[in-house]
Amino acid sequence: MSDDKKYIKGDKLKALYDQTLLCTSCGYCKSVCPAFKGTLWDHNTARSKMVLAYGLLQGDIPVDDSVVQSIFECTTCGDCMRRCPSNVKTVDVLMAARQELAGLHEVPETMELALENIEKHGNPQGEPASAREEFLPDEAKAKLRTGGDVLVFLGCVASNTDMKVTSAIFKILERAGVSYTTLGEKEPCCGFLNYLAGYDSDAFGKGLLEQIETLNPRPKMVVTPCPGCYRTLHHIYPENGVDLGLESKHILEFFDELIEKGDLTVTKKLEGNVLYHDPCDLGRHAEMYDEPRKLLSHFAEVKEFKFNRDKSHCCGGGGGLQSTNYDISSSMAKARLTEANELEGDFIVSACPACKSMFSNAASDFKKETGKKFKVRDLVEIVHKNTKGKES
Amino acid sequence: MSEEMFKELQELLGENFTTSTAARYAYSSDASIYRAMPDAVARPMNTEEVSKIVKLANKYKVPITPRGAGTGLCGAAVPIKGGITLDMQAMNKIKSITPENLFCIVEPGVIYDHLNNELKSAGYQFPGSPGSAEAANIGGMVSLNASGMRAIKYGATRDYVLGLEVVLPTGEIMKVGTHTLKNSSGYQLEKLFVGSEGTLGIITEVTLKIVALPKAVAAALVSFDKVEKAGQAISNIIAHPIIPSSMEIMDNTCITAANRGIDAGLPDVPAILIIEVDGPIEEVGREIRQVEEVCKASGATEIIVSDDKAVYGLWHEARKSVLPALGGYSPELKIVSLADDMGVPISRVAQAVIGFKEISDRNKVIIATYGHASDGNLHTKFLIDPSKEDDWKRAEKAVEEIYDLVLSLDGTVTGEHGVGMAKAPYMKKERATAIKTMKAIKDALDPNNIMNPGKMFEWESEHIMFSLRYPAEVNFDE
Repeated sequence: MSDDKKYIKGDKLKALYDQTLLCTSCGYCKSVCPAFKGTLWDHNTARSKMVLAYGLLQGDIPVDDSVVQSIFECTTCGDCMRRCPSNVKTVDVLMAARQELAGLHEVPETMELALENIEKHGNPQGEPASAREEFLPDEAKAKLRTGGDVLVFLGCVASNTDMKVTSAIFKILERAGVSYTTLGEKEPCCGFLNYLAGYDSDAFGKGLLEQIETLNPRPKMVVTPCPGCYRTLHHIYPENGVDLGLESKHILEFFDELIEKGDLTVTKKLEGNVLYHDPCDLGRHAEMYDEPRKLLSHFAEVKEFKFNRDKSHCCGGGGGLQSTNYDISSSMAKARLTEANELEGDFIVSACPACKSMFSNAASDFKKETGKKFKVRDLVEIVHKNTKGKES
Repeated sequence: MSEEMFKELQELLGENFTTSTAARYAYSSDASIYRAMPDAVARPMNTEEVSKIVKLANKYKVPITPRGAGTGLCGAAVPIKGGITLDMQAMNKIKSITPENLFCIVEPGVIYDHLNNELKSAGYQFPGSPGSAEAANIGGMVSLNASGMRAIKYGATRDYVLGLEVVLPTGEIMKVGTHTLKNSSGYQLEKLFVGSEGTLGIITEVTLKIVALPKAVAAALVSFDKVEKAGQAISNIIAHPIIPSSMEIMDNTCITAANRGIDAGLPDVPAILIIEVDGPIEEVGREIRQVEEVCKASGATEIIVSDDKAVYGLWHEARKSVLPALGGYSPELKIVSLADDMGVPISRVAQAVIGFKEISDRNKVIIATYGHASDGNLHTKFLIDPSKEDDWKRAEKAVEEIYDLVLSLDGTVTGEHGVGMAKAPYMKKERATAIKTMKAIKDALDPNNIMNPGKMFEWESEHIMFSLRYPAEVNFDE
């Protein structure tokens, strides 16, 4: 960062100026903010981010490393917004602040690196594009970019870090006789990380739209196992004027339809206490609470976390925090496991590759520390292991 | 702050000492109307570190402003003279809970609700019940003598402080009070630090009396078509005699705000009372019926009674949400914390509420009134356009009139939030004969005046609208 003092332009935050004044600093958000709980520093609370946004907008404070760090030390889980009795749009203010910072190219280095990877390789992990096809089952490889009724948009996290989920998705689709296709190495990043970093969304969706136009027959629906991708495809693209010309669903909704239609049959139930964790991007941000529970209820009696649905605690993997402050991020996952342990949970099931990744890492430490072993699963894996198709 | 002191603090505290822009700006305000940047934020982990920080501050004559959760409403945690803000939130251990001794020992950064969650499993409570219970720290509560809706029956924080560990402004560590329920052992210095707002030292440990949780609770939501009738009902209940565990009053402005803010579903009437009784099951049943009878006789238009926590819990939630929810009352207006917690004799609550309404109308400022009617502690919140100097001026005039009214009713300018800066000139008026003694105590303990300087009786102006955290400057010379 340059030594010269930089100030934001204000064009993004200005529209939310009113929100910064609406915040009474009552502190209710402190009681739910995972970033505050993880650090106990006031500048990590939602209310302080409202204060910082005000200060940036008023030109009271310049943009420096500490401001960037504070604005980005947040999972954007949105629990503050849920708790706020003044209904302050805290996450909107935070995102506008990030857009202001991004406009000055002031984004944390680790996040910048991930964005560079997206630019160069099409994914934040920096994996070669071809890696998206490496772990696909042969059946899926045969249907790469062929067109079909359903386009499977795997997303970067599932494609590059969770081969179990990736493989399971296609096996389920084969089993159910679904006409599908997937993009493999041509699948672009949805742009959610760019969005979280505050970068302009002009280019959002265009890459995907171009790819969709190459498919013949053109899919009628796109499904994804990733809540971040789902939010982007289902909400952020339309908000930015991008129409993919097909229906978008989280893959769990589609799998539930397959069970309801009889294309998939449940073969067995899970044994043990099965807790469902609401991912923030699917829950608070997309308000999808009943659908995952309905799907999971085919396989188990769903046990609830004390803090669930709109009050769910973040796994720590949201908002890009994992890349900007892994320590806080992982402490959140551990805290959630502690809650699960108090409920004597055996399975922790989510519908998000990032949640699964966070919990899997935390579970490994948890086992070392306490001896307790959790089975961390994505809903996709539950469906894969416990269903059969019509003819099988 | 000198380079030398900066280095010494950095060496002492490492990552727990910061002069970063983000931290200094975030710690420049609390829930009051003020903003002033500290030069640095220090976060001690134990009493020894607090002592070392204070010794350095005393050596270099740099101000220290202690801070808990930063939920205070009068600016006590705003470092108006700069210096170091001492964030006590990381000293958050519950050291012991001993129901057999009827006390617990906690560090100052323990959150009120966290403590009560722990006490609950032993069947006990610390019943202060501040509106900001989910965030407020015990240290801050002691410093401001905070309380809440249950003070009528259970008293204020002051009534629970059995002992304290305090770091004096010289850095010396002092133990005051005892680990016994009673003591007559010399000056009751532990009480001196209650309500001292960080001007006399830093509280590093609190021994708090605890009381058993009630066996049963019931509550009534009572509607009135006139504020006067609600006021009369309050007096009639107390005179009956019934001592409820809480009795909250909300005017229509607050009712509307709570309904909009959290969809509270409160009746849209000129005033409501939320009355709670607790105790043994038979007694609670009898008392809530008596409350019903008295309210009916006092002209209540509707009475809903419940012993279901889900039901009366929502009423309390609605009441607690009033302060922040008022922020959403009107798109143009914002809530600012002014004249926020006056106390009057219980029999004068209605007179005060009606007077506040007249002051509101006269000065053309929307003033919402609610509060702990049963102990005479009333809250007002102002809704103004905080970018307009004229709004602030009209608000200050209304504040002055409210305090004049309260003092004429034999009341106090603050029942539970403290003085800080927002009530400083009025507190000086109220305690005119005691200021000299307060100052003598302050001088004796803090000769270099490093502890939270510029607050309470040290406030130099007759006005309170300075160093605002809002986009307006108020010029009183025009």
